[in-house]
Amino acid sequence: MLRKRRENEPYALTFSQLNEVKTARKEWRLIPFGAYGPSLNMAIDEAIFRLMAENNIPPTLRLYTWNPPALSIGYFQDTESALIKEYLKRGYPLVRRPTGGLAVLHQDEISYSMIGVFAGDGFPANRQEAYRKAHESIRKALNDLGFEVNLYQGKKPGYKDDFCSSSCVVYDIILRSKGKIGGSAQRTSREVLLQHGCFSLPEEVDRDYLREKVVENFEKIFQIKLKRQELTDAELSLSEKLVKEKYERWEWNYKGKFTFLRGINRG
Amino acid sequence: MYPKELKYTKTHEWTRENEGFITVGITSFAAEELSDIVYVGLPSEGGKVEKGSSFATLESVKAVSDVYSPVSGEIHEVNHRLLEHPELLNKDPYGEGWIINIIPVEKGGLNDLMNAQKYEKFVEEEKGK
Repeated sequence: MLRKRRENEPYALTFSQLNEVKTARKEWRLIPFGAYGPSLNMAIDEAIFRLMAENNIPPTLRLYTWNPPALSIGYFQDTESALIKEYLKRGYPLVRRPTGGLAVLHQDEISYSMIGVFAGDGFPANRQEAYRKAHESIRKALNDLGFEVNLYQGKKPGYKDDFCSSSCVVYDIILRSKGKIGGSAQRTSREVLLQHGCFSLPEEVDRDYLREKVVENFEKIFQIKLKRQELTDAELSLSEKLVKEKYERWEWNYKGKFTFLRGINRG
Repeated sequence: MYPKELKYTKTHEWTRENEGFITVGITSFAAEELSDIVYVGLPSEGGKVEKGSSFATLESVKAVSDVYSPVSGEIHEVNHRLLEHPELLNKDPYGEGWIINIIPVEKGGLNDLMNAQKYEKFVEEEKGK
């Protein structure tokens, strides 16, 4: 008969059992960090998303940044907005994302994307769980560096203008001294979720160390093991194609929400 | 719970057959799952749709999702009101929230879809995942 474990007594797991627990952790792919232009960043995320299910690719985490700094806007967002025009006047390049949400200025920040088949290999079963867990991983990483960060718990989304940083939905990343510093957006197909987002860096931080902490906390929160692996050849060639045929095209990036859907690639 | 006269897909679209036309929309389950739909992207009238491919996109809470066509055919009519009133998809998914009207290329294309009872069971299974 089982007896109750005494306080301070080690858990009775043998080494082989411990190994079993370790190997039971699903392995995800980690794409090595890089800084890319706006159209290539979006093309890579979409290529991974499109090829995942048919090519049987494990869930993937990608950390990246934007060079040059750029403005990304939501799938349905209108480029005629005065605020967006203001940023374009300042010379920031613009790219329309395959995901929803509002405009984001990608400067002094870290972006991530997370792509997987719903409920496969430890990937979340639904969109909200994905949003919460990814943001919880980032929150914990920033906490590890000593920042006081919480996730927004408001039930009603708050909206002020066309920028993501001025509106909040549940689980957005909030730095106590500054307000919202991070959010994400999503795209779904029948079985695959693409979620990407970013968080701005609070003051001076060691970026390499912060990225390591983000990876470490994704592993903890999702109960997975991240293995560094490059993009596949198929993903690379689809990315190149998407840059040329979609993300570098004026028609995709600038056409308004009601017209750009008629006729050209709906993504 | 789901209207008995309609047929349903595994990707949560409903279909209504009427005098040779097939009307398509999203089910109340899909609308609830998505929550407040804020944007709708629609195809052009006269265009073609293919069975199993996406013909419209919806945005809710920063997520963009596709709506899939249950049959191949020509798009006869599009509910343009949804562009200004995407909330109709949440408020009245089987009525004013219809999305497109298709002239199917072949008859009997809906035979492999689920009836209301089967769809209800399917949704329960999905919820349990």
